[in-house]
Amino acid sequence: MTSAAIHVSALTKMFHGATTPAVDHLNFDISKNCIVGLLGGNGAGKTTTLSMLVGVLLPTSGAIRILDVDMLKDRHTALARMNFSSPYVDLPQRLSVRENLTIFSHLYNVKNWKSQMIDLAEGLELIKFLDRPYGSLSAGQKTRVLLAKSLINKPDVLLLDEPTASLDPDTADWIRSYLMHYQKESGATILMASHNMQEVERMCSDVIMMRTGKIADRGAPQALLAKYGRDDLEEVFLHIAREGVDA
Amino acid sequence: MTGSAKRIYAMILRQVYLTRRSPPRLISYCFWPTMDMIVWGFLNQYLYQNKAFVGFSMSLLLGTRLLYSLSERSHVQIMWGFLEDVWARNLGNMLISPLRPIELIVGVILNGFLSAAVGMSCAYLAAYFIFDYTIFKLGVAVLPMLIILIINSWWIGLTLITLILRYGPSGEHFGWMAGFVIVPLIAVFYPVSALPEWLQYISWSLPPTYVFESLRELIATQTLNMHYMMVGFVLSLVFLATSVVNFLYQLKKARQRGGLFSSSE
Repeated sequence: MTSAAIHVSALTKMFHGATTPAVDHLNFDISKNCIVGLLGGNGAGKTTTLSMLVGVLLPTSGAIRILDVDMLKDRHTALARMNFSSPYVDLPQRLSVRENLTIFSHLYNVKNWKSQMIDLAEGLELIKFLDRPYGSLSAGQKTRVLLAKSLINKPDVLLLDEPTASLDPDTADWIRSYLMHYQKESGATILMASHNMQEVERMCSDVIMMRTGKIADRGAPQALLAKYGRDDLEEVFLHIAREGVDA
Repeated sequence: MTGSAKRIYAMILRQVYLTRRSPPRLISYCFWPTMDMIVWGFLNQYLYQNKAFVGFSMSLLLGTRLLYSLSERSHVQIMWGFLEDVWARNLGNMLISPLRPIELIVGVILNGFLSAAVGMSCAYLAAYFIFDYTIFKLGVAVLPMLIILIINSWWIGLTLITLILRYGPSGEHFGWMAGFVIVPLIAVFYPVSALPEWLQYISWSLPPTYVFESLRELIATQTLNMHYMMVGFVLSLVFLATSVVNFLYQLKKARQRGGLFSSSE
C-alpha cells in the first residue's frame, strides 16, 4: 500500500528496432490531490510515459501502481477511476455530443449518468451543443466535449496530454480554470503533459522535467526557477532541453 | 445491469446511434444481401425454367446463397464496426476505458450479428415476395445450420479485426478478400467432390462446408445429416476459440509495439 496516487518504478520502454530507450528507468511518485506537470521537448518520452500509465502501451520493464492497483496485472480496476484526454484520440464525428457522452457514461458504469452529463454540460457550457453532431463543433467546443468525456466518471486520476494544444488563448485559459476548479473540488490527481510553460506555472504545484526518456529534474515551479536562476519556466525548460541538468 | 453487461450495451448503443445518424448505412445493411438475393433468384429462375441444369432447385441455389450471405455480411459488419472506431480515432478512448478485451470482442460480435440480421431480414423478404421462397420451408433443420454459420462469421470477423490490429487500417483489405477466398472452399455452389482432391482436405477442415453439404443432402433426401452438423458445430467452436486467443495475443503485441492511439493513420 502506498499513499501515492501514481507510483512508477524503474519504468522503461524500448521500442522494437530502437537503439535507445524511449523511457529509461523512470522513478516517481505523485501524491493525491495535486496537479503535476510533465515537461519535455519532442521525443523526451512524455506521451510514451502517459501511454504506459493508461495501459495502451506495455513497458519493457518496471512497475506502475495507480490508486494502489498494479496496472500491469489489473489495469481495468484502476481505469474505472481514471480518465485520459489526448490529441491522439477523438470521438465519432457523426454522433451528437449527448450520444457520445451517453456511450462513455455506460462504459464507465456511471451512476446517475444523466444528471452527471447535464452537470458537466452546464459546467463546460455545452448545453446548447448536446444534440449537435460532434464533428460540426469548433476546435474549442470539441476540446470541451473531450474534457467532458474525460470527467464523465469523476476520475480520481486524470491524465492529460497537451490539454490546450491548438486552442486560442481565451479558450485555453477557460479550460485551465475549469480544470483547476475541478481538481480543487474533487481532490483528484492530475498529471498533464504540456509544452505551454505558462500553463504549467499557473496550474502545477510540481513539475517533472523529462529529457531523452529520463527525469532531468523535478520540483515546484518556483523552486526550479530559483535553482536555475531563471525568470520563467520556459527558460528553465530551454536550459534543460538544450544543455541538460549539469551544464 | 452488471458493469460488464453495461459496457457491452454501450458498444451496441454506439452502433445504434451511428446507424440512426446515417440512413445510407441502414440502406447499405439491406442493399447488398437483397441485391445478391435478387440476382441469384432470377438466375435460378431462368435455369430452372429452361431446365438448363438437371438437379437444380430453387431451394438449393437460393438456400445456399441466403445462408452464405448471412455469414458473409456478419463478418463484414464485425470488421466494419471495429474499423469505425479506428477511423474515428476512438479506439484509444475505448481501450483506456474499463472495457475489457473480452467485452470488446462480445460487443463487436453482437454489433456484427445485429447489423447482419437487419440485412438478412431484407434479403429474406425479397426472396419471399419476389420468388415465393422461404428457407424455413426446409423446417427446423435450418436452425443448426444458421447457428454454425453465425459462429463461423464470428471467428472470421475476429480474425479480420486481428489482422487490422496487426497491420493497421490497411488490414481491411483482407476483409474484402476474405469472402472471395473462402467461397470456393466451402462448397456453397458445388459439392466438395467437385474440388481437386488436395483442396477437398482444406474444404473439410472448414465448418461452413458441413453446412452446405448438409443443405444439399437435406434438399435431396429431406434428411438432416446430424454427423455433419456435429462436426461443423465443434469445428466452429474450435475456430472461434482460436480466433479469440489470437485476438488477445495480437492486442497484447499491439500494446507492446505501441501505436494504438495513432492507429487511424
